Amino acid sequence: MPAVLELRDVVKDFPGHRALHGVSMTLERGGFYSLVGPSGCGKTTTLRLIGGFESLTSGQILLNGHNVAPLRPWQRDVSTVFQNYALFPHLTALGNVEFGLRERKVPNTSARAMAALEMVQLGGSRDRLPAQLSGGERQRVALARSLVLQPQLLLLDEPLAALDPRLRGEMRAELKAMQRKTGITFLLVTHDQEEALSLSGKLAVMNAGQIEQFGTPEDIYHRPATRFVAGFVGTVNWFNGVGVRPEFTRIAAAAPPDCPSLRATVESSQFLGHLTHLHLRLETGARVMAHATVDVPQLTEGQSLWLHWHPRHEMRLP
Amino acid sequence: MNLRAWFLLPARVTALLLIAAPLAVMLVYSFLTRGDYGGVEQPFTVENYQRLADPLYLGILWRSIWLSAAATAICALLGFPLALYIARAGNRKSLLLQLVLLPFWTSFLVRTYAWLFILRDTGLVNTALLKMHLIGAPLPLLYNEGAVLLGLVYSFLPFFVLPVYATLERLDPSLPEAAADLGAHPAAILRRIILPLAAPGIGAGCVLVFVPCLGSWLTSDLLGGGKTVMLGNLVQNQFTTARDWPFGAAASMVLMLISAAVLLLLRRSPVLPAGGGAA
Repeated sequence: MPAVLELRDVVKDFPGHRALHGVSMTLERGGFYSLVGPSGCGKTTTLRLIGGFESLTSGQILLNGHNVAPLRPWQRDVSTVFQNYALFPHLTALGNVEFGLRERKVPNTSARAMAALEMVQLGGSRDRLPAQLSGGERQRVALARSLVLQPQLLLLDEPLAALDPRLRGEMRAELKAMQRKTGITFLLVTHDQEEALSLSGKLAVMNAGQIEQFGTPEDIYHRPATRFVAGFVGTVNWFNGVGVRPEFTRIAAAAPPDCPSLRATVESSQFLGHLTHLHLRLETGARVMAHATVDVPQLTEGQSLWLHWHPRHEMRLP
Repeated sequence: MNLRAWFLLPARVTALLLIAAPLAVMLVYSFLTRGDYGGVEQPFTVENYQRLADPLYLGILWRSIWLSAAATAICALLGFPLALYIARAGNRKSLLLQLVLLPFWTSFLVRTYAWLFILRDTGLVNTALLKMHLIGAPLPLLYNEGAVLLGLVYSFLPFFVLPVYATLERLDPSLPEAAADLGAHPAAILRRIILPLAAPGIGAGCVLVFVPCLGSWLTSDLLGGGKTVMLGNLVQNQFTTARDWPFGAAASMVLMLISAAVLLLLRRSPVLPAGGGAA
């Protein structure tokens, strides 16, 4: 069975600049994928190309092995949950969910739409207009509106960005549960690396119109392909050209004999309960961080100590 | 009086002096008897309104309504696509809007006269068609209802385009995209998303075209050549040549009533929600 989505060397030019420099990526059926990167990296453009809202300059977009590049949005078996949800303000929650079913001339639209609303626990809000729903409820209607069509691929454009932080965590779990339940392939676009790491089976880190790395969250975090990826998904201390994450950076009063170490002075420390963030300065003047979890000694500002790490935690990056 | 009342005072005085007072005068005049040299005299009578029931005047009334309705319909058919086009024209939006407003830089009278030069027997259209031997004799383009309709559409089209443009410009571009994403073809997007959301602007545009069309007199005077009399011409004639102020006042009260009825009707329909700005 072919992959549900395959991007082959996709290039997109906008007047005056190239937004995508040859993006290739393969999504297997039933997976949860993320496109993550800073704003302007091309992740939303990639999503809009897959949805059919932009035409690509060159390359191929294969959906189930068929090139969909020439197809218009209404001809593609993919659906998008928009960043602002794009609910139709003149239609009720049920009317919104029914919209696509009616356009596709599916029988029993009301019953199916109602089932989808109940799946997102909004059966009781069927007759409410979007303006009468909370942010989280609107998000769920948008999700139901797309999922009811059982698309090959669900595209989600920063779906959690507009929610308040508490709700965001809740919706994150709900998204993951929804993906498992429906078995539909999800492709989520986000600038939030934590969201991408926690939700996806595989994620693509994008920068300047290119995918820098496509891999599992563990790969991306522990074995980043580039300095950009290493820095984007977490904090990195650079010691003589090798990168070490703060949680693998240890402190000691004296230089340990059997592992690499460097001298540093304490600039500040923040006690967070389960761990302590130490901000330190190397003799070169570079600022680094260490996450100390147990037996943190009493430290004072300006105090001198040794940083050390295990060589297997070193990231050697181009 | 509190601060709010003080700030509202100028608006109230203006409305009273410039709208309510003249209307009251007209209302009283419409129930009086005509004076010998214009003006009004006692006694009070309803005769002016009874005269309006004469088939001659009912004909004028009917013509005014259907010409205004037809002009509104044509403005809607031409104006909606234009407004949609401008709303999606990106950085050329303001230029195109200024072009729509350009005719207002010249006098209404001059613009209407210009149509005489285009439509008359020796005018632009007929001369061109004759020279191309497409016709043997000049077409009767002027001094008929068609010419008046054309003039009305020409004059009031911007009044339809502007409010519709305002609602379409505010329309979230992701809504048509979401509709397309859900499987809607362009025609379905227009019918199920864009038209319903632009309805308040379309309603406002219809009112802004229909009401002034109903009261217009210059267009029918110049392009109708006195043969296509509309309610506005009747009112004007009664106050000038005929010197029958009470009858003119009665005719203009009827005009007011029809306009008010149209406004009320639209407010009750979902097109112009009572709350005012809907979108």
